[in-house]
Amino acid sequence: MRIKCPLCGERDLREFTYRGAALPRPAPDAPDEAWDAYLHLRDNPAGPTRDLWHHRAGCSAWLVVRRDTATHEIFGVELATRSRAVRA
Amino acid sequence: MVDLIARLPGAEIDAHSEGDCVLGLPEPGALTWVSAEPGQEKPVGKALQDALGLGWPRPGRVLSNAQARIAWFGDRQALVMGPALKSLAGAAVVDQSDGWLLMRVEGAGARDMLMRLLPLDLRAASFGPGHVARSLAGHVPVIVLGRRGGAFDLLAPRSMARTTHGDLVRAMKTRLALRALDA
Repeated sequence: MRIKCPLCGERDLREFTYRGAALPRPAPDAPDEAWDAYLHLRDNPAGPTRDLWHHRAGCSAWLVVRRDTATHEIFGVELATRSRAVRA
Repeated sequence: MVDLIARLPGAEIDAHSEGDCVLGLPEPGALTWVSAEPGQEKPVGKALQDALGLGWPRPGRVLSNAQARIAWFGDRQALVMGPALKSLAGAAVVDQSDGWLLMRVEGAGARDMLMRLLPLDLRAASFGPGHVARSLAGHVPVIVLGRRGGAFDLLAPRSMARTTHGDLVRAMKTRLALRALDA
């Protein structure tokens, strides 16, 4: 698998570390149920998914990667700092 | 007060030459990591321009003149090589001179040899003078800078410098051995 880092270009999987689902962070005063879901409740899709990856051995940026767990196709990569996926 | 003896990062490491590939240990000067606060790349670049005559580098690029090099080092980060920097408004500035070992690989086989070790496309068409990449040499995170004449500068973290030096020497030997088999 190769991931196209928006800063570095296409790089080998070994430079990246997987973190998990890219979810919007609840507001600080959101109810416990929202934080519980944010921390613990995950889908396990066989298909399109959106994950956080760390370009650990490269530019050290956090990335939001949209990919398909069934076909391994990657649809898009963006910087987490500029992504709406992780904003509430 | 205890009188401590300063040791340079490359104190136990020697230059090495193998066929058409030469590994040297040039003096890098000061290495200063600069991290601009969000949205401050432009003013920090202006301050660097005033101080060194070089601005803020684009991703994957190195700016250089006779006295200094500024290498892109990640989002909002740059590495200033050469003159020491004290501080810059709008940025965190950290002296890392002691933290990296600079190794230079040159010669006709340098490009070929490095591509054995790093998972990067280092062909002349995609990586040359003025390019920089952070990647892995084996399992060690390194910084590669392209130089004129097919040469490369490699910055390895001091704690892993002997590993990377050993990996480079082995890559030089393996490449020659494989070429001898093909001949």
